Amino acid sequence: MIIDVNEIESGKSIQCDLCIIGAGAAGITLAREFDDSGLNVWLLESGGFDFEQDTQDLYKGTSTGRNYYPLDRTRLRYLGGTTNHWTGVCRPLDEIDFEKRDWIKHSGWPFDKKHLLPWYKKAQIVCQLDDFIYDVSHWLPQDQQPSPFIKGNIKAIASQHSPPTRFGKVYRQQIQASCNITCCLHANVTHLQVNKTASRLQRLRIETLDGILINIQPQFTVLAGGSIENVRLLLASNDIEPMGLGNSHDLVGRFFMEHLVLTGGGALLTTKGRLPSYWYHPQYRSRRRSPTPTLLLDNELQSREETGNYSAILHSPKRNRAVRSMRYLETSMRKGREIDDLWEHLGNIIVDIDDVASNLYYRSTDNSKEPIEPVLYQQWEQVPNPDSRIVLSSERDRLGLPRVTLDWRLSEIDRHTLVAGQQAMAREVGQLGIGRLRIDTEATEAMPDAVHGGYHQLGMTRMHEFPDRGVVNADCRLHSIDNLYIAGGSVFPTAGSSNPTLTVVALALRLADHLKEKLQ
Amino acid sequence: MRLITRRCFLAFLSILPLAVDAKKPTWRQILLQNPASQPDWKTLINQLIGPYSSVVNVGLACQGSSLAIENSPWSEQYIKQLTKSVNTMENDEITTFRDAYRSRIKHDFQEGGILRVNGYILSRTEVEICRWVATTIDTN
Repeated sequence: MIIDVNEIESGKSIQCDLCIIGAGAAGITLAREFDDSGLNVWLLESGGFDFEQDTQDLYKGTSTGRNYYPLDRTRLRYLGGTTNHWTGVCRPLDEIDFEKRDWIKHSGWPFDKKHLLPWYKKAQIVCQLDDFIYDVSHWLPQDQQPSPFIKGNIKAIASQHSPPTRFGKVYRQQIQASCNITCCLHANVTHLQVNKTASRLQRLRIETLDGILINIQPQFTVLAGGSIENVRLLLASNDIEPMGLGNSHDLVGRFFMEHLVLTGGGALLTTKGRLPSYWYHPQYRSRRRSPTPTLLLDNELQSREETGNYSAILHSPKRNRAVRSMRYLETSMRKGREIDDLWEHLGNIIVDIDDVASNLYYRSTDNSKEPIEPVLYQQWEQVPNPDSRIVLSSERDRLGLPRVTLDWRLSEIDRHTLVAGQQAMAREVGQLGIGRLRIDTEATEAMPDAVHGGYHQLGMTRMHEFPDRGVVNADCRLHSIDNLYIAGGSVFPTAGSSNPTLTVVALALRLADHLKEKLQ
Repeated sequence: MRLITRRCFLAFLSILPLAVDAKKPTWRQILLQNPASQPDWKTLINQLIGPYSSVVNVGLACQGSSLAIENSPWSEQYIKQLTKSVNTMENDEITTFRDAYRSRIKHDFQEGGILRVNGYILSRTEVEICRWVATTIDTN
């Protein structure tokens, strides 16, 4: 069922088997796994069914490092969490992302990709995707040539598209109808109370913006409030452990990672027919669920060049305004349609007469030789950096909880990955005779300002088998607290170059299986 | 309201080359298909390397850039042979020259023999040949 915390009498104490803090992709996935289990499960959501500004403001924070988005704009605080503005791109992490790479300090997951595969396959269904097949050749339209990227250092893989699944809407009905899951809205967890030895979580303090206060005493708790919120709650619950919970090695909040993104920093100059059109053609791009071919550096090149993981997508070539205006006038006249904004279109044509002339020239000579320039979208891995971190600030939110300050820092290898990735792409397309790569944004000396984050906040409560190198163990349990677990992107030890939601869901499903065993 | 007819548009197109010429005279050669100073070379370059105007543009860009490179022995040899046989080249020879050029470019990309010209990452050989066309052939 779904209730509002305001329906509960203030001061009440509730006992349950499992309490999940946060109803986003990870929290809802976990809760659904316990539907009909007979266990008393509470799913706490800070927001309501829809966006509310007062609640969203609880996310506010500051940045001191590399320029980052306002922290309250990157996530959403209501049922379904950040999946409410998710674009839906899904791809599992690559094998190499799980490996210990000698050239990347702090790399390596406690398990390999093969271990995670059963949960990846289940996550595929949760995210409403097609079969768990990421081989690009499987998804090719029948009328298209095979991918040219077969040998060499660039490999092709498919990225799938979720509808996208808005977890709060798609799974609301199931949660509403559940007999054993109680989803409690407007329930803000403001404190995690542990025992005197800080080895066991005893109760959670829940507060509303209207002043209602209740306690929950769960047998097990999962923090699934989003990477930054997980950190904030651990650090702010410092009555027994002055450094914050699970932070005896000063690791909570460190290793903040983003996917580094550069849109339009280059283009591929080619001609029709040299590259199969599904690689860039708007017809394929507009089919939202059609997988997008994605280019990656192979393991050998990453190892040889000592780079992080790097991926690139070719977007539809953009015609400039003048050519669009010319095409519009031409089509309107041919079809006898009325012409709107005639003078504006003529103005566009005159201003960029070079491009119009070039376009006419190619069309009048040989249509197949018209140059096309698909735009490059690059997304790559930020390697773990302990100095890139979240700390508590002196400012407090309406509930009295300290706000956070982000100090986002990149490493030299992050810049090197971009340069090496672009070079490898350029060499591959040149060697295959596909065309020539143009690099518009230089990264030879410093990371360009145009490089931004992909709205993927990862790390900060990283997973590692040893407590001095990770906040949670391989089961996603805090090393120091028996009954407190973490779900979400904050447990990622490394980020890879894949969009993280599918992995977040897979890890949540894996955690659910672990907790089922514990709760039996 | 149909403010523009097909005839108007065709008239617009007819004055387009003049407008273009006024703005950027190099386009005149492309649009009006002006013969190059040495037609044999132009035809040959089109067949062997690529669109003549693009080759010249790349060559001029190299010349104007800070790239201080000397021709590789391979390019020197290629240019020498090309110059020698330009007036007598048969079809099968053209194919041989073209294949050798393409294979060399592929080799360059494989081995990392690449240069950046106006943002484009090009093979060292194509840069050298384009520069030679722009500075030697096109200016004669």
